[in-house]
Amino acid sequence: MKTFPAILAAFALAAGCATSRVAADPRIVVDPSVSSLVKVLTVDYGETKGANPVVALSLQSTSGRTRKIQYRTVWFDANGAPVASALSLWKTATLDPDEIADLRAVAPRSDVNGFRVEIRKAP
Amino acid sequence: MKHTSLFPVFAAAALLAGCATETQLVDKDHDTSPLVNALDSRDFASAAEDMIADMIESGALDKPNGGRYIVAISRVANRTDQDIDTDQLVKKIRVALLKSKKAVITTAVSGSGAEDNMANMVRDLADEDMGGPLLPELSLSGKIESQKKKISSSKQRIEYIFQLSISDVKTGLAFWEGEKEIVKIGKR
Repeated sequence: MKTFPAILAAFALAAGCATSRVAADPRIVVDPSVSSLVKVLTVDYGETKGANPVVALSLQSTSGRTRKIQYRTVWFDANGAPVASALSLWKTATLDPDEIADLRAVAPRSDVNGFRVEIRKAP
Repeated sequence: MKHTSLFPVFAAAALLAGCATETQLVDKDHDTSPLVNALDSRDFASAAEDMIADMIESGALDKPNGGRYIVAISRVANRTDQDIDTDQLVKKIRVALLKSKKAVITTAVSGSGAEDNMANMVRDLADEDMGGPLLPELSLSGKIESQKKKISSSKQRIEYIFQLSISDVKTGLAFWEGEKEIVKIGKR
């Protein structure tokens, strides 16, 4: 009987390790391959009437070596479906140790209804 | 005798099958194929993305009284030593502009004549006077340049520069200008 909670805890731990680590902001999805190499400092989302929304992200390297990461912003329409756009390509950024990078993305349309920034290790 | 005469045929077929090139579809989100000195579709996509983002964010295409600008595609010159179809860049920008709902592109007028002459032909055939096609308010033009610099006996640095402008066709004043540089180091 005593072993049951331990098994449950082990399962919970294993399940936790299997999912992508999400930064404090659920709109920022950091792939486990880089989650120990970068930390998201700030996320700013600007929306002005008539203009296309802009998201600005501040990212700091927590690695002792120069690293290459890739990032992209996926935009969603009013129905929550991703908007196909030339503005959602993976882009590469090189980060020196402790460097802070400011990433910026503009929405392809003014009527988008949300976004998700994805960060992964560069191949 | 038949068995012996067929053997070379089978052998040749097997050899040919072995030499056949394996073709793979590339997932563009996970494209790790080697980069080349020349411009490829990834470079055009990257240049287009940066320029579209800058163009949209600048607000140059936000019409003061609402509505959409009519944009004509002027000339995007290829000033590199490569045989480049500049439409690889322009088409991406056109599609993005249309999707942005900030501009429409006219195909009745362009830097190299009408892209689609149907609008003009229909006007000629119509009984009533339809007037001319809607005139463009803005034009998109630009050029792609390249510069090569020798780094060593075996390596070179190639700089590709994409430059685009959006101008008011009435005044000739530039509403927006953008530049994107792609630098590659590779074999000479």
